[in-house]
Amino acid sequence: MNYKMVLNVLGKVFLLEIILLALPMIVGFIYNESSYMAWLIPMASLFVIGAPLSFIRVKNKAIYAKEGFVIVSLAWILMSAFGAVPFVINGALPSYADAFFETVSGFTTTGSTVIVNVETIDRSIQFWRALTHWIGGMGVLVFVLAITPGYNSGAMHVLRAESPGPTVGKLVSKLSFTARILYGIYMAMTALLIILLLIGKMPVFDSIVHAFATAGTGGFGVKADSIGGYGTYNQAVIAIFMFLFSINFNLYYLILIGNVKKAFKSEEFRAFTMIVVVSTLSIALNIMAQVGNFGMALHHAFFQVSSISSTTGFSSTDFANEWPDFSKAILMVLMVTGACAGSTGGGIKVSRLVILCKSVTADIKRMLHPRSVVAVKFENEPLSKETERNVRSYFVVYVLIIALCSLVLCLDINDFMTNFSSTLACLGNVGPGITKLNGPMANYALYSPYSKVLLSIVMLVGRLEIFPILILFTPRTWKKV
Amino acid sequence: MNLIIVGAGKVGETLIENFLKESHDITVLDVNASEVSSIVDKLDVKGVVGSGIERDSLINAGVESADFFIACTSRDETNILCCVLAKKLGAKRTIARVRDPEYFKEVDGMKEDLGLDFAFNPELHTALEIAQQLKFPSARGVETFVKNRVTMAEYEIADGNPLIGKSLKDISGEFGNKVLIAVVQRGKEFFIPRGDFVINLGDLIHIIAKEAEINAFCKKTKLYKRRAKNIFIVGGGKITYYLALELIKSGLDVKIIENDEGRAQVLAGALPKATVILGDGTDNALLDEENIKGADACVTLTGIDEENVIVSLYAKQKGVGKVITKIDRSSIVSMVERIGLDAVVSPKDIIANQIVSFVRAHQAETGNGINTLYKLDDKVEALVFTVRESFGKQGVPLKKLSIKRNVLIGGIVRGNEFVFPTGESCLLAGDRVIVVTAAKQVTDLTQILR
Repeated sequence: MNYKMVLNVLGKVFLLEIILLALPMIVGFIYNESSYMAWLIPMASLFVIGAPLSFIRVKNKAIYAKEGFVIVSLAWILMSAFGAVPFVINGALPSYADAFFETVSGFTTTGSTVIVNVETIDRSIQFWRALTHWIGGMGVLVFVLAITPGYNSGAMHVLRAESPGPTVGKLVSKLSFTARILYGIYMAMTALLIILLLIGKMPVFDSIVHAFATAGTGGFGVKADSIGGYGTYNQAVIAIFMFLFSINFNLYYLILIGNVKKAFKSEEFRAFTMIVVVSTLSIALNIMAQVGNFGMALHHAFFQVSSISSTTGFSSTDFANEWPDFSKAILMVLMVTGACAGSTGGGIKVSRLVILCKSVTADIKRMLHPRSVVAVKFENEPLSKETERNVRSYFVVYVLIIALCSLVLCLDINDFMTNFSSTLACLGNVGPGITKLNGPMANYALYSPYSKVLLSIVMLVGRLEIFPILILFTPRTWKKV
Repeated sequence: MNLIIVGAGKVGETLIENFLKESHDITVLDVNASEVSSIVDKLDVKGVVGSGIERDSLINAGVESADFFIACTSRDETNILCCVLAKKLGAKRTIARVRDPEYFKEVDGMKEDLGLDFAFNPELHTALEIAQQLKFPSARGVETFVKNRVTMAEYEIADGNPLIGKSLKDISGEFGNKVLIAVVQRGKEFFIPRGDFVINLGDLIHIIAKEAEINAFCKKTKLYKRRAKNIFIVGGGKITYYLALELIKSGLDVKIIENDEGRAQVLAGALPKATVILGDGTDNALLDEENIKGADACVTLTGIDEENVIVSLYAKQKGVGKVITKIDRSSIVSMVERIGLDAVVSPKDIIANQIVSFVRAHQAETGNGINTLYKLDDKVEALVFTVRESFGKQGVPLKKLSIKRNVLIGGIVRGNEFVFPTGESCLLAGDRVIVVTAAKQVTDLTQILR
């Protein structure tokens, strides 16, 4: 393990977090809030630790797969640990376990909250929650790669460990330039969303916060009823952008360089669109009787489908209390399937499911004709055995974690459906569950501190796609040979 | 600049490492997915899996915007073919590896007919480099510039050398030759010496001059060794063929040991003047029988690095004056130098240097850009520039130019003649100037001025 390099990168991540923490402090000044110490204390401690680390002179800059995993998982855990401090000092969440849960929920773009009344907390805290979504959506280390030159060899391992999806490729030959392109697209789309929300007469602060939360597919809002009170136009805009942010960003790059045809040919994009369309229509028909007219039913169905499949977790209506079980069941399936690889969304990822289906179909074919040779292709390229194996083991571990976590949560809250959907929502980085206790109008404050820590770990596991966190806690990782 | 490299093998990887130092945008294309992914993991390049002779994969790799297209797969036919295709699809310049002697003979015609810009033959270039080193047996390394008109040779100052304790001023006064001590390596440090620099025991000096001048200088300073006459070559691959051809041309006696009968037959047929021995070159008894003791130089060129090292060690032990070892894996080179094998050639490094210089030269066709480049170390480089009409300080004597501290004019080639640089010399348009520099990233002649 190249400890010096790991510490050096972590130091740079800490320095970046100081800058991030400065932004909500500025917001606090604008709104004349008194609790600036809540920001200064974590900033100072990050500086004391981060500055010496980032000035370590590293001779051997090699980052191998192991270092990549360790850097990413440590960076995420430590950023959340420091990012939780303002909640405690500010008083919004006096318990550190609560604050940690809230911050992890922010960085992992989950959007599950333990704050009972979000409307009464400070603006700076509200802004910080949204900012954690925004930075966590595209990735912290991608950002570090984008702004610091000189990470050449092995930085790919870091990108791979942090970016969602079964296979991670570069857009252009230079990694740092790839990271810049991704963040460029991300910023431009966020800015466009802010403008569209402002046109819809949403207040400036609310627009920025909601745009950040939508871009990262997070789901923290500033109102108790989420997006419910902002009118049909704003809801529609947010619904469309949640969908857009849950598509693989590589496709936007393809469109930017004029290769529109190839972008629309993406198998994953087609499968994802199909999932969204079918789910929306099914739910719309299912809730039509309740809502009254088909137009509004379609509107709410699309909003919820887009919100859950992109793993954002906004809501335009209280689906947990009002909707029939069939619609809720669809939403629960969407929590598992999740968004596209290479987007800011979570879940298992549509590309993995497509690969899984193809690989199972191939298996059936092999069983029927034991000597047949089957070539499995994905996105027009032959699928490597390694990818296939990774996807299968990912799926198995994902299911095991769901089972294990819901089981443990049942020790705490005596309602299986709630615990089950909490697990799905946290592991898939969605946010709200589907029952009265954890739905969009409720929150996660009901769980004990132990369960909150467990769910925080589950959120990190979901965001970093399981293996980095598992590797961090494997003793073998820390052995010398 | 955009570069596409087809073939992610040894040469491809070395090339990428070299080009990355100059921050080009590189795409690597190979049919083997695992080779591509291992390179993408290690180096900051884009990888595309596909064949270089397939239109779609070339387009995928971005061939239409490629400034240089370099084909270095293991097959000549593939390399030539994908260069032709790449040129059609819009690559500006194409470079192909062509190593088969039969093809390489026709290479000039191919360049014309098929639009190849540069064909490189690692084996041939390695052989030429070895031949060059054999011409200066006492030198640790030799490099030539501007079509062999200028030579740079590296010598170690051993005990009892008359140069020890003398400053460069004294040396030029005493020996009076037109040679320039351009770089001195002391331990791990490199110096570009001034007149008052004193030579110590154990220094490695790099001398720039005409070939004849270097030999004359070496004779006076006890650096000279008799020129090798009997050359022992172990291993009979392509390098051996080219090397033997070159050595025989200059009248030397060559003995080749090869253990494959078929190959030995081919060599014996192609090189009637060489003695070809069929047998195992790692067998000490055989080497003794063939009188390795009597050889002036021994070159080990088998396909296996370890065998080369062992045979070279044996040759050293038997008192062979000059032993040259071919090593393919660059990670071994520094280890081998530590156990006393100082003359090591590494084909892929030689070829990477060649291609990098070619690319540099064509990158700066208009300015006072670099023609060739030779790296002594990561810090010190010897560069050749062509002085263009646009160069402002033409005709100004060198002593009046304010040249940067760690930059030295090593020589000037005017027309076909080498001009030894003195304070009175000046630069004219069309001159080729050899510049030795420890300053980083000199890419234009004007940058040597303060």
